[in-house]
Amino acid sequence: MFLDPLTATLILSGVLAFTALITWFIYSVVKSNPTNVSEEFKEPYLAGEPTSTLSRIDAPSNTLFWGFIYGLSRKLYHYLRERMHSGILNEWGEYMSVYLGLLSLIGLLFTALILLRGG
Amino acid sequence: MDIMYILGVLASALTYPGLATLWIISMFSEWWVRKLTARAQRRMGPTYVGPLGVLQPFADFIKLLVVKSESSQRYGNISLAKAFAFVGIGALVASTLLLPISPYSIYSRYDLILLIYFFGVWVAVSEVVIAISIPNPFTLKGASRYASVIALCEPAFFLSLLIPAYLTAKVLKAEPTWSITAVVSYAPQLWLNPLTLIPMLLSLISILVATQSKLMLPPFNIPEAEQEVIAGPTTELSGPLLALFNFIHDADLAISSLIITLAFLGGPYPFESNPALGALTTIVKFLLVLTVITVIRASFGRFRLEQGLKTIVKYSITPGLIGLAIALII
Amino acid sequence: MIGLNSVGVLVPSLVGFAFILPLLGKLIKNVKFFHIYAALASLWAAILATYNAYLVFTAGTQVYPFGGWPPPLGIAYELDKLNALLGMVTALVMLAITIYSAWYLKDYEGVAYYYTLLLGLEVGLIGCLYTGDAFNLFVMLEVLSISAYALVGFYRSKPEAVEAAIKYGMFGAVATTLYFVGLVFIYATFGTLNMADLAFKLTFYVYYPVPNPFSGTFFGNPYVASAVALALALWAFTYKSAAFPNHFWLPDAHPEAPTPVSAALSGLVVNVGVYAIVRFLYTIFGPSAFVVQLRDAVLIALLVLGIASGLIGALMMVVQEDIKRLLAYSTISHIGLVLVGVAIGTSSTLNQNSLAYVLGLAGGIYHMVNHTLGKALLFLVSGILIALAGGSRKLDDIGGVGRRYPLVSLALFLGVFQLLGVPPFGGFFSKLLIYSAYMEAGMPYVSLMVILISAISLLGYVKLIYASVFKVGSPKVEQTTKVSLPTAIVLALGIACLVTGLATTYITSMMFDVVGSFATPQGVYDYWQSFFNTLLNLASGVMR
Repeated sequence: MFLDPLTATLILSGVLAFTALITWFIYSVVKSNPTNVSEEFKEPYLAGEPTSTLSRIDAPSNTLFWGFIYGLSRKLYHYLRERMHSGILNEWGEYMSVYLGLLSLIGLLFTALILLRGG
Repeated sequence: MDIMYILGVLASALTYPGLATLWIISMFSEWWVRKLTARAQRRMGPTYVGPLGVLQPFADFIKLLVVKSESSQRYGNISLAKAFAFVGIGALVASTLLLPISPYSIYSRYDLILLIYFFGVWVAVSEVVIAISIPNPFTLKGASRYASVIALCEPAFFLSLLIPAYLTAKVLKAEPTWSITAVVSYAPQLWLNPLTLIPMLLSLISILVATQSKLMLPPFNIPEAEQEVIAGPTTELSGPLLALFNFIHDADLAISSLIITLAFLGGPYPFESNPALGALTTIVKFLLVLTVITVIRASFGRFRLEQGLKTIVKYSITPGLIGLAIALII
Repeated sequence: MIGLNSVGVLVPSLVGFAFILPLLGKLIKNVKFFHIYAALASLWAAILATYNAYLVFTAGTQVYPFGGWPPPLGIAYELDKLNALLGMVTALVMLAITIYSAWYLKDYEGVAYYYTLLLGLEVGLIGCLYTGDAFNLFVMLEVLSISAYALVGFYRSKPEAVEAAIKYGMFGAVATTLYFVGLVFIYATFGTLNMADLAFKLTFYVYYPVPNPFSGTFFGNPYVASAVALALALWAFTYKSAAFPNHFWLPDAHPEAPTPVSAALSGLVVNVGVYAIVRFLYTIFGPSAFVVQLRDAVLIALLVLGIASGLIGALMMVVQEDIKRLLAYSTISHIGLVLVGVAIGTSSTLNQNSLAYVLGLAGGIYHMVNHTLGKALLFLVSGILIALAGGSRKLDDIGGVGRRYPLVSLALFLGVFQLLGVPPFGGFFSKLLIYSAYMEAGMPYVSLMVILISAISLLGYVKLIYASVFKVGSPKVEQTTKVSLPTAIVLALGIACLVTGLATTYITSMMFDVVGSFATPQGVYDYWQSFFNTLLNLASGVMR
């Protein structure tokens, strides 16, 4: 049926919620006996090693996207972090005045255009 | 819009092309991929349940769901993981309704974006949250790698669908604009026109690579690289929860292939007028797409993460961008 | 004829509420009094602002000339649907923030000064939005900025806070001064600072060359003056809205402020910059103003800046280790998206594809509202998490404390979904409008950039969720901390996020209405017409 995109999204979201509920219902009917927590599953699975071999279970959050940051876009991030967001005031000023210069240039070009046309 | 229509949509969400059909198609797709991969690697693949083992994935699924018990880990939040599994399944079902394969399919202008958000973003978010809700060094590694891949392959997927949509909207002036339905009905014309052939070819390459990476299939199975991270996102999943996660993954595979079949290979073309023959053509094309995906899967080793990400940029985003540039010029 | 009016009374009464506070601080020692006092003042503002919005949406544009002076001579407040709506959202979110402050500063002694500044911030926000006078906008911008500088440096024993406030203040002073210089050019050439009058002179004067008895005609070259004024004003406004490359102050300033203030700064203050840009580029230098080429060039520059802010904000989000800094970068990213939305109105888009024009602007405004709700929510949640984790803002120290507070985590998820823009949350629909606008306009590559920005920011949000809900740290949970009040507030905001999505058909048509009131030639004409009617009424009153 042809709908406007907003109504279509709302209907599909309704479908999402409805299906999720139905799936949950089916799941709770067909799944096996209630959760049995056996002792061997209590600790995180570390390929058979005991958890005591680790100093921490979780990963520090700054290592999460290591591959994305250092694998794919090392140069980009180096530029963004070390050069652009260096925290030094006059370096900010540089970027900001370049932008002001750009806006002024637009104004100047416009003025030149108007003057050339004899406005 | 009346109540009967809404009821019809809900009913089709549960039957065709919704939950039930999706389950069957996705289990079948899993079997097809497993069997072909096995054959490519000179193994037998599933043989035990059903003719040629076709029922094996069904049996696996049911066994995990019904026989195995739910288990919970000390730090895990099983109920949250399950909630997001159901949301992911719901999102997949919602995205099947956007494809023009049933009388209750929904289409609108810009429904391309709806498809990206339901099929791409919701499913990816669910998978990531399922993975991180049961913390474990391997799960986290897998989830973060998966998210990194998603950050690139989601735009690539969008880009490659954008090209046929743009061509149908601007070159063929088809209505509704930017809609998957319009793309499906006009895709064959785009292939037959020499002007639009090149961007279509580029976007097909782009979407194949994007799909491969979105589905974590080799060479993009970086999130579940077994030597380093055991089973990646699924390390801590077991029993019914693992069944749900596998279902999401297989349904993702099935719908991706279906999207490529419909939007790039024209679905029932050239038998649109004959429903039976059209359906048969669609199925044949669908199997063809699955086979291509499997062949790519079977013929590559695994990339490292940064290799994978660079490959997405090089072989999915770049062709897509070139295709889009050509499409814009036409 | 013009007596006590809800449009006129709001800002002055809030000023009164704010400036009485230091005196009361000397007289009354009970801290609770100030919490209740500030909440009531905010409630008063919220009620009036909501009523004003109701008035505008039912009875049309409202003009209030202060002191009964005819507008170009005196200051006038002029409310069309755009600023009435934003004013309402601002006042309501400020109400939530003020109530939250009562929890946040429960053990703090000098709350009188805090609330003076917070109410001052609200005065500045609503004043900036309501005013119909470009010079009054400058004054209110200063009120807003000075409160903001002081609030950023509120923890004056923390060197980082003071440093951030000084950095923010230094460049902020430059920005407002530049805007002032721009106003000098405007006043010298157009003889007026009233926005409606300016809009008239720039847009309709060509067709009706009737000099305004109060402000005369042009002096000098209006083209040159417009070019200089627009360049300077835009620089100042992008500074306030923290668009790249004027965004540097934001990730330093927002995290250092007290958390409720961060919510106000990130959710509301940046909106004022965008609002001023929109007002200047669509009402004053409107789509049919005679400086078309200038406007087009500026809009294209804004589009590029919007995309750049979106990308840089999203990329920087991924590498943050401080929860509030992560959210601050997300603000930069979202303001970029808003700018992408509002930068659609070049003359070629308007002429060839008015649908895209309306969609883009509506999407931009809608996204502004969505972002306000989502970002205020996330900052308030971060405040709760920080308090529970013992005061550290580091993502690692927060260590999944949210898992013990499911309602707080629920609110966090709602806010993340809002900002990530998944259906059916409001953030999705505003992004949908922006996507579809650029697809309609034949610029699908802009839509592609928007989706790239969203996809990269997904990484940042995953990091946020992971650190605050799932991480297996061992934070020093202070079991004594009671969080029921802030939890209720963040849940209310979360429900608001959901409602902006579920009621999208109403809200979107309202946004189209809003766009019609400020960005179409008819809308600009109506804006001027209401101003002119007020002028006529006042003048005839004087004659009699």
